Amino acid sequence: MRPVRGPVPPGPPLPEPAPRVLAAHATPGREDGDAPAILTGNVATRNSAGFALLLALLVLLALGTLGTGLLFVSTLETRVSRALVHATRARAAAESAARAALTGWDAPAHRRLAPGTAVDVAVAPDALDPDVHAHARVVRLAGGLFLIRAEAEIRPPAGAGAHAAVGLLTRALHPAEFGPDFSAAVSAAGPVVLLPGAVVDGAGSAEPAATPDCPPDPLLGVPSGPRAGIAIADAPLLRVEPSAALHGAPPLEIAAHLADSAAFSGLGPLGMADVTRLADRLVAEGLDLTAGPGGDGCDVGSAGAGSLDGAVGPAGAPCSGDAQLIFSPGRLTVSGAGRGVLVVDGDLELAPGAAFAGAILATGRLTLAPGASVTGAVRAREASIAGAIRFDACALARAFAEAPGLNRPLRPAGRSWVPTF
Amino acid sequence: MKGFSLVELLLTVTLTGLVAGALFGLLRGQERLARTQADGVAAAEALRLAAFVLAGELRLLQPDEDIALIASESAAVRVLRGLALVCGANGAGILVRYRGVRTPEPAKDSVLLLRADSAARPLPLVSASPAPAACAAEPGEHVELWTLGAGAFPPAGSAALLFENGTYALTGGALRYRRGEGGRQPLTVEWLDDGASGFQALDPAGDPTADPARAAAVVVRATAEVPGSERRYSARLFLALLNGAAHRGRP
Repeated sequence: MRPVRGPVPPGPPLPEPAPRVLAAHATPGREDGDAPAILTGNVATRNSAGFALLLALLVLLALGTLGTGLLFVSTLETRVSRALVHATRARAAAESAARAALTGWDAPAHRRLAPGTAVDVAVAPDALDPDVHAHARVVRLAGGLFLIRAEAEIRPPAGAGAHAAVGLLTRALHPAEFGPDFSAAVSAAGPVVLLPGAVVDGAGSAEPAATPDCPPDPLLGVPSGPRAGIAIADAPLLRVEPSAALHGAPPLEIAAHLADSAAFSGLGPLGMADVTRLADRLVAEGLDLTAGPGGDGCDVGSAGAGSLDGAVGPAGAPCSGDAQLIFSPGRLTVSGAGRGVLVVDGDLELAPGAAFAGAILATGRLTLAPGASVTGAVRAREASIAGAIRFDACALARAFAEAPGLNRPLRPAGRSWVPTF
Repeated sequence: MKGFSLVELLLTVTLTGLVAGALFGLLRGQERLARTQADGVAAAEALRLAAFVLAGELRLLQPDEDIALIASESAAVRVLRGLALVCGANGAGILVRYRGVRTPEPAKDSVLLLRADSAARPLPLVSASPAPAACAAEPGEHVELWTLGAGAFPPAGSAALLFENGTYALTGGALRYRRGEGGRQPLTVEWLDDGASGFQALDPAGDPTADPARAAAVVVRATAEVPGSERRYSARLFLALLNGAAHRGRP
């Protein structure tokens, strides 16, 4: 029988009308298959069947699955991108830490390291972002090489971080690399003229014997003991005037290699271009050493003026901190008193009264006026000497060890950056 | 009689069809979006992986020593795998403190011995074996006994880099790596466009150069194509070679 829509036909009264409640099963006298009662306007059929709910659920499930997948992909992408950013930042931080270690290079301390040993280097905490932790370590390698091993770690507040390490090879100069070029009081290709009153002394020293803070020979890398007065390419190229004094062990040494023009092309392992770049002070034509740093009251012959560790002498000590690498690209005239390493790409003249302690290299002619003096050693293509040159290993070692320009870390000729894993 | 009238049936079928069509379209659009997103991520990941690998391998090379060739489709290089510090020697060889991405394998590895000027001398690695406690090692290092070719006995404190010869190529739709004469193994999905991907070395002035010794940087171009789609993802990676010609000669 089809369900009837419309007014309910008369029948037995309902015991308890319940509005909005389906009560078909409670209708007395209803036969199977009869139309269900329709109560208070709501319709319910016993055979109600549909798929709308199921379909909606399935669609929701499918959309939910896709949405979740998209969300996962997006989240994954974000994480991967963040990890890549962290990795890049860590790598940059490690390289920065290595450069920071280079900037704060402590040549005397690093020079004391034995090959294979290492020392930690502090990286300024505010040099990098707060979530970056970096440190560096300097490893002394064989020869003059050092390896700065820098590591950086990114520690974000949440999520995975990153770690990176890198190595920076650095070359540091040692006084021993310059020592062989200054093995005599005067080394010259020639001619060399000792004018009346001149003194060249390779055996003696203005200073007393090496003090505990001045062990010159190991630092200079040459045998200890007296040195030659003059080393020259050939004996006839030397002329000694009467009343000039030449002392040394031996007084005259023939060094044929000094005839080679390359013998004056640089300072130890450094070419002139390197010296130009490294020089603490560039001068031209005239130089008054007294007017420079440390010129005030610097007794160039004073023992203890500075230390061989490479650090400058104690505050207030004579000559503390005044040793410099001075370079002149052409002719130069020097007056006053000072110390350090003086390199002149041309002729050099020391005026009367000028006093210099350390090493002098002149690619041209050296003229030492009467009353001028050098304590240390001189290397020049030619020389005309009327003053005094006294070999002093201690003064040489101090000059090479203390001149800031020679204490800078250098880029090696080969590779600089290496992975450290 | 139970049943539906024809009109009801037609109406029901029509409405059902419309609803089903709409739902199918919606689902299909969503599925396409999801797939596109996933493919885009995969393509981007391929580019990112290529950039990450190449940056890690190329930036620290010494061009005139480590790069044999940079052609448009490939770069033949020494791939550095570890660093060793010589800490001693015995009659059989040298003792080293080694740290690397893997253990040394004499069959495929060689050694770059760094001289005092940091120029490298390539030597064959004849043998390598663990020698724990022969030297004091730092965390992350382990001590090994190495025998180098040419009877080399570098002094304590010398540094050596372990390397293998390899070729990175952007061919066959992927970034590939080949060690020695081996096959080219893909490192990424094979979605790269060969014609739009490749290497280019630049000299210090920024001009293209075919001479690795003059290389100051390497530019890597890579374009990934999503299969069945018009979408393309491109990346251009500028890798400054930290040991390149532009940085030399400075104190």
